[in-house]
Amino acid sequence: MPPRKSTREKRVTDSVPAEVEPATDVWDDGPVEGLLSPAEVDEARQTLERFLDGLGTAILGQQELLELVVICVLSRGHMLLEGLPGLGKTELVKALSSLLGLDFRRVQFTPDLLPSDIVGSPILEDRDGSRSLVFHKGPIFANLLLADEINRATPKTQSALLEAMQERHVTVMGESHPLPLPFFVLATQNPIELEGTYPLPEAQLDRFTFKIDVGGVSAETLQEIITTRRHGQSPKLKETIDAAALNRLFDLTDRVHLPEAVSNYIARLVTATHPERDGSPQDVGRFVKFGASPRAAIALATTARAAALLAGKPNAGFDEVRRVAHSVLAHRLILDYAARLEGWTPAKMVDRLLETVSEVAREVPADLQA
Amino acid sequence: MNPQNPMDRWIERHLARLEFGRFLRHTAEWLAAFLFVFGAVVLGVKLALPNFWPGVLWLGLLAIPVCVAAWLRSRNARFSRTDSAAMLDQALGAGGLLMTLAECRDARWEERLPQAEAAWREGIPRVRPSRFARFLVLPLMFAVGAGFIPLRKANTEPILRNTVGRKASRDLEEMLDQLEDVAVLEEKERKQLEEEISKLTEETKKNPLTHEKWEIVDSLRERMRVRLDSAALEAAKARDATGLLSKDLAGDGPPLSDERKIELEKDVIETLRKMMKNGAFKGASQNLRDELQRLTKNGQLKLPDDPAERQKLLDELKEHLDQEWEKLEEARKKCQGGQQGDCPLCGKGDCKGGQCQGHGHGNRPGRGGVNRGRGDANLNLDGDSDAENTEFKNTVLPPGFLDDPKNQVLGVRRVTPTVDPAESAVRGAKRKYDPASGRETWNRRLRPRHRSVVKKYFETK
Repeated sequence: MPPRKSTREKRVTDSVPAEVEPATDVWDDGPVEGLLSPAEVDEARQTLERFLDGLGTAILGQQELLELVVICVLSRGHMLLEGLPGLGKTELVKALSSLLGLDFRRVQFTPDLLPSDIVGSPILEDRDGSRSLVFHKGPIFANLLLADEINRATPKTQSALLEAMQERHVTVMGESHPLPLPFFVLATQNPIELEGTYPLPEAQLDRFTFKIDVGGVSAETLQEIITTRRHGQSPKLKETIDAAALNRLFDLTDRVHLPEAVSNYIARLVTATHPERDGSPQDVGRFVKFGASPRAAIALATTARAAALLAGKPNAGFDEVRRVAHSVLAHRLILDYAARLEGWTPAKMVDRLLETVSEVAREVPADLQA
Repeated sequence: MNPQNPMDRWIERHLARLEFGRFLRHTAEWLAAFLFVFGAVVLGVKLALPNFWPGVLWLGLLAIPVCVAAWLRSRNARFSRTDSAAMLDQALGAGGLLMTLAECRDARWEERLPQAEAAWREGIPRVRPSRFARFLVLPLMFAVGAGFIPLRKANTEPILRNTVGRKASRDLEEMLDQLEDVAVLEEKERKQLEEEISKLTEETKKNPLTHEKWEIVDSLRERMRVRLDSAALEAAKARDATGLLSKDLAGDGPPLSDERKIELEKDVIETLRKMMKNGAFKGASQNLRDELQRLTKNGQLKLPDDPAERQKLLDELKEHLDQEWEKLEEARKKCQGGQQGDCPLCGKGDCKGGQCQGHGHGNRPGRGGVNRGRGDANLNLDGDSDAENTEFKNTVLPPGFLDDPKNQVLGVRRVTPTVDPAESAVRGAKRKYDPASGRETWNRRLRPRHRSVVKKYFETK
């Protein structure tokens, strides 16, 4: 009889699904040489248009929302969709997984959900007469995780996602388990049902690249939905972008050039969200309690690149930064109670920041302006 | 960087335009400050330090270093190429492509940039000199206006001290000149006056006039005036006497008594003698002088006995005396400074017909009276009349007094003056109760009935 191994010596077996592609080095921050060629940009543009068309088939009348989702996917960021029930948040994520051909898991967050229900847990197994703890992966081991109604889980469970979202691996019993790449967390939450919910902590919110408010649709769109979907069933979607094409898009996104002036604008924009910093707008000083983190600046830059690729440009410009600023910054600004009394919302504060902070650090002198 | 590349060329142009604009801005601001300071300095020099004008204008050359400093300042905070590319990118609406290509050259994308020259030109900011000139308008006006402020003239004349005393001395000298012109002074007296006045003038140059010196000034002035007045009166008297004698000789008018004729003749001869002694006939006709010379024997002048010859001489004398009297009157007016009238007695001008109306008695210093004058007249407080004051003093009648037809001459008494008018001038008069006499006024005993009067007199109203 073989000697019994101690708990520490127990072997933890990683049961990675065979169909999941091994992780590629998508976080290589090495120098990117040369601009994208017009052909590369056109190729990406065509692929993304197909992708958008597919999403548009599933989600009607939400073009802006869909573009933001695509931008978030291209930037490999996590997304928090907030909206009323029935607006198609879950449907959007399901369509996304279908079109990308990625491994998709859905977890319905409830108050009794435990962290191990998400990340997995080691289970004692008897194999060939010997017992060992075998790690059984949870639903987080997927490319696309839908955390439905994430604010219904307890903070303990919510925090189980922290490491996974940032580090792209989970650690169980001292053992790190890499997640399949790409890895996206797409969470939804209902803003009106506060009873029995646990608002996401700031650290958790900060890990979401985008927080997108899903709004209603127009009457024309509703009529189209009624006409084309008798039982609310979404159309069957075919895979539009495979893993290789997605990696290619990631690569192209990384090669989108971010000019120095634009990066300077992003830095000044994020700095201006801090009330204690010199040069921040007066309203920020009055109503903002905590500003955006450096992670927000990184997210702004990355998503601006993705937005530029989606727009068919080899570079990000000020327009792209302004386009993604609301989705990136709004959920990262912590306003104080005075702001609520004065009717200020994070979105309004971002608007004020975009009005106040000039795009170019030094503008044309007033005497030279027309 | 390829300088031939249009994009680079436009970025450089944009950058140069920005730098030029900043330079203009700094120059305008600094020049405005400089012009204000320069104008203030010019103003200060013109008003406080006129000796530095117009040398202060050389400070205007400091405008050159000011411009150089502004240029250096604009270079120290110059725009970067990144800034310029970003601004130009915004102006062109290139969506960041220009910024990107400025950092990463790629010919494939440069074709996507605006190709039209006009589009690039529109993106270049325009320099409007009028905007910068606005800064300079007000300071420039101030500086130029300061240049037109009149220069304050420094007083180069030496400061005269004791101007009042000098003027008094000068007035005395002028009076003496007048008296010499009309020949009313004897040689001895003239020298004496001249000596006293020159002495006074010398003392006045060194020290201001003291109270004692002012007394001397007043005394000399009064003395000369009196001399002039008496000469005028004598001339008038002689003229009138000549006229009366001439009329009498011609049988025109009331006949004169023999005594009166003798009296008038004596007056005329006495006056002529004095005038001849003083040299008052220097201005007379040669014929008259010869005639007078002929009539003078042993120092005694006598009018001719021949009626025709006498008549002719009297007419010539009257004419000459008229001229002399007019000269004397003119001299008197000048000596009185035009402040007093023609009357030699009272000094008023409204004594008509040559008759003194009695003005001034008691109103002029030293003339006594009941007013609040200087009070240096002799006081008689014992209640008894002074023996001297019981008689009227002999006074010289004003000219023409005797010619008034309404008056009836009862008699004319010729009395030799016992008091020399010059010596009896007010200032020079000895005072009975002056401090030097040891009998001060305050030390005297007043009768009780007079005390209230004296007390009331000196009371302040």
